[in-house]
Amino acid sequence: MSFASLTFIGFLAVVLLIYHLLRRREHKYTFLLLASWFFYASWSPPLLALLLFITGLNFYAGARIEQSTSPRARKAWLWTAIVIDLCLLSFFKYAGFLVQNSLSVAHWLGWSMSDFTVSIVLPLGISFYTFQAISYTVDVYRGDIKAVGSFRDFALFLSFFPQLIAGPIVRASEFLPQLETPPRVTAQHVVDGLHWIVLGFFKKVFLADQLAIFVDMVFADPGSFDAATLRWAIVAYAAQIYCDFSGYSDIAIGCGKWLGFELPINFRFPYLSASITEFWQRWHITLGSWLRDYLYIPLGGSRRGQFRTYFNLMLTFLLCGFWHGASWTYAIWGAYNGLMLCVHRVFRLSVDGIGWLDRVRASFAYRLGAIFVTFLFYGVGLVCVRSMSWPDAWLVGRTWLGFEAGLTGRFFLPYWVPMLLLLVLAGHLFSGLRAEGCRLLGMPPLVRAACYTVAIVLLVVFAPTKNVPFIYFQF
Amino acid sequence: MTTDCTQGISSHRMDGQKQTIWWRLRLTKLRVVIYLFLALLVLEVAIRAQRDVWRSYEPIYYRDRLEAACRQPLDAVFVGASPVMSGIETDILSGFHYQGKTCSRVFNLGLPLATTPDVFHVVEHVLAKKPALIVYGITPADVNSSRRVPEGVHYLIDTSDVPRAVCYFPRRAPWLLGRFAGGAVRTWWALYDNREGIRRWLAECFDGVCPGVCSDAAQEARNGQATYLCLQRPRGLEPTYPVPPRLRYSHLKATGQATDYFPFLDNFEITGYLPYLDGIIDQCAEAGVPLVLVRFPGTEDLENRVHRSEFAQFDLLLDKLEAEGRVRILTPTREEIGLTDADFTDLIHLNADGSRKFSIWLHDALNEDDAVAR
Repeated sequence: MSFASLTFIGFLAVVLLIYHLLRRREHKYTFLLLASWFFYASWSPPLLALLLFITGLNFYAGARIEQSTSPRARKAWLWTAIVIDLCLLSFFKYAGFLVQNSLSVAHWLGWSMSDFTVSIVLPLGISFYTFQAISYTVDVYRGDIKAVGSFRDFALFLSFFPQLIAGPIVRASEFLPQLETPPRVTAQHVVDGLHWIVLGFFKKVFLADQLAIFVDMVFADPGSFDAATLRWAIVAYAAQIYCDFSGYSDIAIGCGKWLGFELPINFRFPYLSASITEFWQRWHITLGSWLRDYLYIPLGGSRRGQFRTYFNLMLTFLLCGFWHGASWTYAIWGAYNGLMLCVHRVFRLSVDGIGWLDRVRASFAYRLGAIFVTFLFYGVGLVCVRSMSWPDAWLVGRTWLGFEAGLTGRFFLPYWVPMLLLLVLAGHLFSGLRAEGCRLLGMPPLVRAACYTVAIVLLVVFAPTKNVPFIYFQF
Repeated sequence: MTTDCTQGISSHRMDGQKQTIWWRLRLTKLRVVIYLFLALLVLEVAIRAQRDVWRSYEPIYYRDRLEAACRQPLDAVFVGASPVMSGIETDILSGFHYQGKTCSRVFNLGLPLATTPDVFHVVEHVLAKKPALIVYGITPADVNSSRRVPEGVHYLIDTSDVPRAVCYFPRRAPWLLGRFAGGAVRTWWALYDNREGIRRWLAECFDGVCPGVCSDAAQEARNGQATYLCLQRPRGLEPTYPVPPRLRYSHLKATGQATDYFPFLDNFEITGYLPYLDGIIDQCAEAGVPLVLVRFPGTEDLENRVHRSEFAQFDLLLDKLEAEGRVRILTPTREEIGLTDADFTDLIHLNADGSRKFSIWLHDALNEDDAVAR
């Protein structure tokens, strides 16, 4: 059951009705847990067992870590849970990739091996709920939170349906305290929830799904289009992936509010970033902070010298790339982002503290240029993940950077593509320039209602007839 | 005591005031929701008021053909699936005699992809017009109960039909209930139900203001309007005259373009929809409206090679029905009608030449029927 479907709206309506009719906190949470499991089972009933296993494993591990007095036992339980979690994630996500690459290496070495493929269904949301489970056991181990006593509450933390399939990645320290007091949905929650849900559906259905039509067409055969079309397609893909993913997160946040829970913001106008470092503080914020707190900092962060810092950055982002997908494409994309971060770090360390440079860097013109350059280099990474083959990626990537010699294709740009891109840009500028949340939240009620009405009409009337899946579902 | 009473009344009044203030505060905070709800309500009313405009841009066969049929007096109605849709010429058939009545007002209610359950509901609607005759041009694809057509559920049945539909074919019930619920939700929300028509209307308006910007969408809008006008006529869509080679099955075979692809008889299952066929016969008998079943001919290739066993099972069914004597059945052969591969566009649909021949034959057959009966 996709968010962007009438079935989900019906499901949400029923869940909200029953949830708010129930009086006692225990009954509410039990119902919400069952509804979340039902939501997951509607995607893949057999793989609900996997979610239940990970829930049980990490709940038990957390309890044992808390109960154990010996540091060795605590560490043993921690690593048991982490290893099993990562093994399951690796099996379902990377087994096919590992087998394929092992066979390639074997063939390259001249060993005769019979070709076979491993085809394993990737459980939806496994990358997200596994990371949430790991964050819980680590936080309990570190003493940041107490192990939760109720299996139901822990299961609800992992399975909470608004964020189960594609995030935001919620920390136990953010969610579990909210379960201790009865969820209270105020008028403000209702209004804010409405805002996030309408905005989320608008971004996903009206912006992302429409742009996907153009992007898919161009990337399917980039050689038949000219340089201008390819550049438009890259910009459109950047807008598509942002609207798709942030739209999902917005819907999750809105649903959370309507159920009385606060979920973390996951995107903060990332295309206004003046550096790749800032980009990763604005894009998929919950993943970035998870990687920082549970991978980068435990590896030593920036505390063990320059070389080690760059190594930690590269390793973190290489793994970030693999988290996004089991292919060399994503690994290269991750390594590319890691490299950009290292380059930016070197640049920053070189110029920080130089008076006149600091003044130039604080200027609006510099920031504008930095935003453009950041987007330019971010686009190279996007080309890598979106292209259907390496020759296509090379063709599109060099065109993006201005080296388009030899392109003889046609110009193709439907009139609505620039219009939709303008809307995405307007949204970024309207709210993002002041570094606040969405400015619409502070507008007069009549203005807000008018905007929501227009958004609803546009997304209903112009929604594509075919249901386009959320891009981040594949992770 | 008086002080207690006064204090009690005061305290009660204060509680009441507090509650009023609480509600006012709440409603103030919920103004956005209230304004949005009111705006959507006004929009709903406006969209429903202009429903005919949106429909004219988004013709829907099942809905528009049935409405067009039920809007006018009818003498004879021809029901069935797309073979009937393309194979019946109402102008040729008009004027035949049946059971002492001259049937000049003839309506072709063939619906694309229709199955026997869909025809059952069409007949149910049409019987209210008390026609002189209903002719069901039936093919094996109609009674193949492995086929399910959502349009029929969306546009032909209402809540009172659901229990009977579940009883007639319980295996289909989950699918039917899901489709029916989805269709019902659509009709409650006019914006969603008419979104395609609204989009095309907007495209045409926008093209008028900025010509060439969305010409494809505007042309789609104009095509929709032209199709809608066609669907209001008794004959439906205009046949293509003269018939070009690409609409002749013989030409397609000669040039190697013909295929044996005919999925409508895949997983052929003849028993599931039989209650609906019985229901059509019973409905007509109860209403006192004569029913004639006409076995629609397919190409030689389809009947004797591609789906030979399915056609054999279907013919057995028709023989059984004829033996029961509950309904008049006409089973013309291609030779009787004078049909060749050149008269078909594909394995089963007649082109303009074929539909003319078939309609002439049917006109004479029904007249003969009338003469025999008298």
